[in-house]
Amino acid sequence: MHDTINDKEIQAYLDQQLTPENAKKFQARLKNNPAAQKKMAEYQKIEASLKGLYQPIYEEMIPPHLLNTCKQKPFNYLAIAASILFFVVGALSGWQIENFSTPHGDSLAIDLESPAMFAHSVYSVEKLHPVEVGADKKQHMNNWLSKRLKTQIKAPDLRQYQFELVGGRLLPSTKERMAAQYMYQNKKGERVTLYIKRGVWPQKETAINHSSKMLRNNSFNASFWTDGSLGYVITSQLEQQINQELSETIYQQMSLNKTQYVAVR
Amino acid sequence: MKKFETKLIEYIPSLRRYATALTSNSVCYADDLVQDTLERALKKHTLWMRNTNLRAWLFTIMHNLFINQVNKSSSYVFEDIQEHESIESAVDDPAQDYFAAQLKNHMQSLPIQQKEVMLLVSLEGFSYEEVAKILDIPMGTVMSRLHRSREKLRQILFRENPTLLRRVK
Repeated sequence: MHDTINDKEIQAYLDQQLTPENAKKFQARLKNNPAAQKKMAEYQKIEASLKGLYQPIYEEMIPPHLLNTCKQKPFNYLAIAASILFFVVGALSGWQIENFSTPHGDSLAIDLESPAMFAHSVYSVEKLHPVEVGADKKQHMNNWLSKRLKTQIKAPDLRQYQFELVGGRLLPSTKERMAAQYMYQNKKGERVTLYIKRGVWPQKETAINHSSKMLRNNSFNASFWTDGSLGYVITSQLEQQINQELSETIYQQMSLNKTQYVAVR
Repeated sequence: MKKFETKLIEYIPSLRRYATALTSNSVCYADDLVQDTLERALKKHTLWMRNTNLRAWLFTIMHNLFINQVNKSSSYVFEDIQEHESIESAVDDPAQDYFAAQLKNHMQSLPIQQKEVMLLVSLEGFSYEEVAKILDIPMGTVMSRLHRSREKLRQILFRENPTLLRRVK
């Protein structure tokens, strides 16, 4: 008996419309039908290529303007009522809630964490040019980055964690601002970057925040905080605990640095 | 319960993927389309019924916006403007690359109705039923359009390959 397999059946199998039982039966029939087999393989190749073509855009970072669109809250009477209430209560009692909202300020997620993690994912895999200025010209690099960022910064020392400074680079960031990235590497070749950027942050000083993200097929951990006008992000593929320790050390070194700087001035 | 805005963000990558494929691989136009879709969704979010399929609802909005633009034409221009570098090929094998490039070209020559159905099913993994709802057409039409577009692509990509024919001779 000659078994014919029509296109409808092929399509149903291709789109997984069959019950597991029927799919098995269909596979058995397909085995004895080279013509249908060939057709199926061709359809499958088209399907796979189509998915492959658009996978990169799917994995790409979401452009900030699209994220911002979502952050603009829809018109919400309750929220408006609440904000009026806050305002009235605030005015009556003389409270000042600083940074209750910062319409022109920077967002920690969009303007700090996100560009830092993306920059890490781009440069931490780089073999030939991981940094713009190498650690051998550390003094020059610190001066140059301080000048471009218009604030005194310095690559912290992470040798107690076996991380050697590789060097640093200047990066364009969001809202026409620049950022500095310092890269560190240990003997195992694991890399950590520190991203520093000036901004108008929602809070003058924050605790160390943690986040994880998948970028370009790798998962990264970040720890970030702000101190005055500077925002800091540590990114790596190491455990969050190590990031936390590194962050604390950097925080201490940076505040020490700040007081020294003030004292010298 | 997650906030509506947070849920929207989750679907941006898939909206961008679909929009890019739909608008002839022009990421600029695609992102405009995504932005319009998000804005509209935020404005009309009371119309979305909780616990129904938000992703399908977003694709419905995008479809309607896209079709309006196509009818008015000119706004999402279908010309080959310089491609975004992110649409690099995902495969390393040059033969695969060639096949994918051919596929990309020929996808653009499909009628919009067929292309939409194929992208929603093959690229975005929607069920026939969901696609029927998104495009507001009967399920039978979904299946026949899908078959027509796949068959057309298969004919072009596997039959009319001149280099292959020559080699056979």
